[in-house]
Amino acid sequence: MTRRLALPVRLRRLPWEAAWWTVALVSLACTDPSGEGLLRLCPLDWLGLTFCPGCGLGHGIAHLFRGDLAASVHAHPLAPLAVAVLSHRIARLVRSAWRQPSFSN
Amino acid sequence: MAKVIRYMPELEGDEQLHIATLMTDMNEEQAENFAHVYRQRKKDASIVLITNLLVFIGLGGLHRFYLGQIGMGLLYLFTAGLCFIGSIVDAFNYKQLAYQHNREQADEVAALIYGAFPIREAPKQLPEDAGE
Repeated sequence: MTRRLALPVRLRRLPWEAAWWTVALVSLACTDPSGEGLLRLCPLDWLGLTFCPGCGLGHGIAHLFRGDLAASVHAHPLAPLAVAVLSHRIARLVRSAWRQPSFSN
Repeated sequence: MAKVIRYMPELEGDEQLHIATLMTDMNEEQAENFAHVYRQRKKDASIVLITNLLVFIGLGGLHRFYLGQIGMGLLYLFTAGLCFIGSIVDAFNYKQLAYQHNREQADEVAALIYGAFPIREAPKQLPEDAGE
């Protein structure tokens, strides 16, 4: 037996991590992939490094949200995997937070 | 709350509250077995933090593997922890990561315990119990 939770309770229970990944994906979906690089956000760039194995991931995700799979894979081969894994993680976090443990003997 | 303090005195905070809720309806045998199995399954928050920090020697996402999140682990590993951003967030969030995993495990173990050790209505009358 699972009880349904009220909406405010559901929102309050949402884990911080799920909100973080959602904000990350939505903000990347809103960026223009053909614009400037996202390096201003990158901590490695602040340290003056020019190489990072994750470079292009932001562009790749932005391309993917515009339906351009080829450009996405070209920007970073793992971009489709990143979107899939992060969406799965968000779904799992939300499901686990909303589930009411209901056990009885 | 009394049972969680007796059987799992090392717990604290949200985890303690959650386990106390799960243990409310358990009898002594169930609570003892629950504590035993849950201790085997729970993951240590400080190991999550330490494995996460290995991103600085090029091994990102080991904490995600430790928590059983293979997909996230691979993603972190091949992108240097999402360009360090993911790893830095996780370094602040490591307790929550461990707790989230442990809570799922606790729910699973509780269901397992209620199945494996049902409360008997009349303990002495079941013939298969006599042999024990």
